[in-house]
Amino acid sequence: MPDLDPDLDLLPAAIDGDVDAFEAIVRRYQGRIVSLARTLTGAPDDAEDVAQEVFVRVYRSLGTFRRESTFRTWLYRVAVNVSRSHRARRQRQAPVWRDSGAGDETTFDPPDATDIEGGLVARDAIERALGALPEELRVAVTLRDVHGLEYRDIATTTGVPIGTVESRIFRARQRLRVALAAMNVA
Amino acid sequence: MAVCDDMVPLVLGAAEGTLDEAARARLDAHVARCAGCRDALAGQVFVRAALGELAFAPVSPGFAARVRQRVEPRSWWLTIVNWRAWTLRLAPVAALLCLLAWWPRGDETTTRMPLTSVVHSWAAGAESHSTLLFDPDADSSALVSAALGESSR
Repeated sequence: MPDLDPDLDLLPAAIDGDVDAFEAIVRRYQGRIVSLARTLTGAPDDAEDVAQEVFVRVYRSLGTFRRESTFRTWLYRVAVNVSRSHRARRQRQAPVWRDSGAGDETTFDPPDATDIEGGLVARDAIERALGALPEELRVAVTLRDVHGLEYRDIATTTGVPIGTVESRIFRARQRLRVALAAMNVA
Repeated sequence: MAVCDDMVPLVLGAAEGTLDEAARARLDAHVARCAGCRDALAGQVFVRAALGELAFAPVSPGFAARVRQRVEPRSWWLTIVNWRAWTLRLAPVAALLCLLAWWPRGDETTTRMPLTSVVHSWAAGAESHSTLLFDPDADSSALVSAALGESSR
């Protein structure tokens, strides 16, 4: 059990059914979870719906939260699972997004030089590059570099050993650097 | 350029900023003569910094309220307003009241007509009324009486 869960100020009340406390938790994490859903699903328009589903599932499962990890790690695990399911469902319905396998070549259209000055273009480029990664690499590097989770928490969230997490993050960054260079961002 | 396998943990640690002095010195000595590992280290540091600068996506103002709406138990007055729920539950009570209204009481002096007779009588009346309604020669006052269910007898 983690000794210091930063959500202990609200968690016990939320578990007891206090909706105000749970809403405060939602406000605390909404930006993170919507962003994660946006990155992992590759569907910005669906991100809030997916995040909403994450919070509803978490609320309904609060009674089963064993406190073997922090609440944040548990929340992220639910978010990763819901986002994965959503992405898989979308791919079945309309195969627009496609993970590139290890040997796949990914091509990008470089943005206009004038647009590169804008931070939005950099963000868009990074999101496109992330979206082109295989799912396990995208999840690991997003949780580490965008959301700042520790390696052990990523291991808990994704259900793989820490060594695998390290390897995935290393490979993800290498591939992202190549992709961003192709888009004139690196 | 390929990175040396035994240097991967050190390159990763350097990008994370978790190397101790001895490990850092060992990595520095290696990258000074290995272009592949030097390039890998630069790439790890660059991507980590680029992703770290991504701000979280803005969330629409009503997001938390919408989540709350989905998890909050319905208040008692909303349940009362939902007439479909309680009218259905009251159906057996209504049936019981009808039965009691029809059932003969002990202090009654008049004899109640059996239920089957009541139904037959109503059906016969309804039949004569409906026949009149479709009669092209019926006058207007007779039609009004038939529509109101008044007996023509």
